[in-house]
Amino acid sequence: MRSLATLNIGSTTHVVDISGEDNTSLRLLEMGLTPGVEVTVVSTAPLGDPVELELRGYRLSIRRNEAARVVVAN
Amino acid sequence: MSFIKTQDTTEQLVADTDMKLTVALLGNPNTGKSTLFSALAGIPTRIANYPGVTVEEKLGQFHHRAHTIKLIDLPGAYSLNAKSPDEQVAVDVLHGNLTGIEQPDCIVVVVDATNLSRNLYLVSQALAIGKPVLVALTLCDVAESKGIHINREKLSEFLGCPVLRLVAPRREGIDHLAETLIESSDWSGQTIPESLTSRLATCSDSDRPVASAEAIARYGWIDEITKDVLSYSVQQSRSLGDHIDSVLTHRVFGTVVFALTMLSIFSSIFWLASPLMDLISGGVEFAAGLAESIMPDGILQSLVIDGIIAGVGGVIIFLPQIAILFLFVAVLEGCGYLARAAFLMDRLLVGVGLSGKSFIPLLSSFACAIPGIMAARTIENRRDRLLTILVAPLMSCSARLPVYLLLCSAFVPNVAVGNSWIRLPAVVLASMYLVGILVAAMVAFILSRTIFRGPPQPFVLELPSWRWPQVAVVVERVREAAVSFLKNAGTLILAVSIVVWALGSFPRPVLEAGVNPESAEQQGEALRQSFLGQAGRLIEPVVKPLGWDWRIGCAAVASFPAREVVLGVLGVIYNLGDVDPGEEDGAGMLIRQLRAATWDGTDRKVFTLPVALSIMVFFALCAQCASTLVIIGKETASWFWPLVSFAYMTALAWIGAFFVFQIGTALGW
Repeated sequence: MRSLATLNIGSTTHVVDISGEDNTSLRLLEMGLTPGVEVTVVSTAPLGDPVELELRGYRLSIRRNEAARVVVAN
Repeated sequence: MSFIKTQDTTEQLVADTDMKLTVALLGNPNTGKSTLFSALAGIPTRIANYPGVTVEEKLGQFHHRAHTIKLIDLPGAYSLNAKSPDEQVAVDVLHGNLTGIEQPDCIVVVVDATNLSRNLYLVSQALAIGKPVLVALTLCDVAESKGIHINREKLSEFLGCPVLRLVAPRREGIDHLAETLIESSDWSGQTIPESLTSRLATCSDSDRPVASAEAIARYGWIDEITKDVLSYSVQQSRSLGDHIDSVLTHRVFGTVVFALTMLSIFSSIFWLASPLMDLISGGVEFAAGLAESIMPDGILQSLVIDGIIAGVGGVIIFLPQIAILFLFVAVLEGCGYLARAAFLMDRLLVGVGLSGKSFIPLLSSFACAIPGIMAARTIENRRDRLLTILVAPLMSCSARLPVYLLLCSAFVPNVAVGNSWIRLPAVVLASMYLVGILVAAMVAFILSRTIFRGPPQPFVLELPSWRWPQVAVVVERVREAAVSFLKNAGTLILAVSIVVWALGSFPRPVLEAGVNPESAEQQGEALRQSFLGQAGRLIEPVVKPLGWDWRIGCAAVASFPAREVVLGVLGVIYNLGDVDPGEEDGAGMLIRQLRAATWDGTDRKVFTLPVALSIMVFFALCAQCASTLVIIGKETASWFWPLVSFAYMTALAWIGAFFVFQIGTALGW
């Protein structure tokens, strides 16, 4: 299993799970990063963090340490 | 069917059927909620608080047929499991837990048709409140142009509530919405669809926390719905928005565009505003002249001219700058750039313990810390929000600018730096802004690693799709900012001006025979003996290490309630009568007076370059603004944080001014 933070720009995959049980994990789920959803890494900010994602037809930005909680399919 | 926005005679004719209805507008951020609000109710009749990028709930009212409909515009929310103060306000209003706001009879959930899936999450939560729910699909035109089709009948069936199509800027569907709202009063309470309750029922057995399990269950339900109601007419290809995005969030181009955008906003705040400021300055001067000609000489005339007109006039001069800043912020927010700015700046701000979301509050603070601190509400996280609020007043606001400009033009030699076209006063001016930024970074860095230390905080930011800003919304933002600023000028600053005038005018000196009370010497002596002068001389030992005489100390003390009064106070103190900062001749005169000022009883000049720099640094860092402290108190719901802000900023200001003066003197500037 790998995390979303390890993906290169332009790659598309599926969310498998969100690790952690705190508010950050809940907010990621509430923004639609639920198991099974398709997600694409669109770009990263100038200093490499945060990352820009596309999912459910919209753009979302999260930090790398949050992306590390998103377990994705290989 | 008629749609009457204002009071109309038809209302009296059918008064017996008149009905009052309270409706809440709920929705994700960036769904066009504000546009819908203006289309329904026009300008809000009451805004619960100051403007910022976010406002506390807005209240408005409109009439449809004989009925009065009260509208509450709630702050944008992604979820009703509140994680930010904004979301908490929304939740409290919906449950009738906010004093002064009645519980809504009906909830309109504004849903962005281009982003149905995530928007339905909030709908799934709103259905559980028990009040009738109405889904307003906005941005339908944009969705259709993208080839996204929504089967509204099916969606309505799934949700168990009406789904209306709206294009708010063109007022399409507005009448229908109003009509449906009236009908909603006959509905029984809203029930949660069976398909959703059955999914939620299994959540308590899950090995995840219930809230997480419910979030997954809700999206499972949403995916089931969207599979049936969404269809695409064209192959989804890269849209224009994607192309814009790939440039504007690009590592290199994005940064360049960002820097240019911010630079042009800043330049325009200073240059675009100046003709308007001259105009206001002319008006203030005219008012003073008028008062002088129609009022008899004496204490009352002095109160009106020196106290009220000079004090308030010196403040409303900043109105154009505030309006221009908010114009840009509203346009950038409307088209979706503000979120990109937060995205681009996040890493940098995280380095000093803040977050990308602090960027907008901090940027706004360059015009005025009050809207900046209000804008910090968009930061969900309490720690990041407090830190942002604490350092926001260190950004050099527009009220500091006249002080910088006056002292730079009076005491910084107007020479080129090296062989370049850059002039030294411009460098000093820029350094004052830099001093504020660097100290803010330092303070945030230290606080985030000491008293605010904690686990890493979430940063979840939607990058809304690119779209044209709505003129009505932009106009409303600027109007809001201007009105609240003027309200402030009309109350607090007016009061402070009168108090400073009184302290500087009493006790009145006893005049010897043959002395002209209007003479400059006599006015200076009167000030020296006044309460203000006594206070100034009392604190002289404290300000002497900064290179200041008692008069500067006096001006600094008098500006603690509002720093913008300082030029007026300096004018009075240095025997000038009041000086209008926008008036070139007046400023010129003040400059000559300051240059000529000497220490009491000596020929030694008061103002040297190190003294001017020390005053500027003091003003750059000091918390000389009662309104800001009041707002910090309101926003943090405590008196502790405004006291902390006041104490640390005043201490830093003194230390900064001390070092600048001592080092400058030692280097022989």
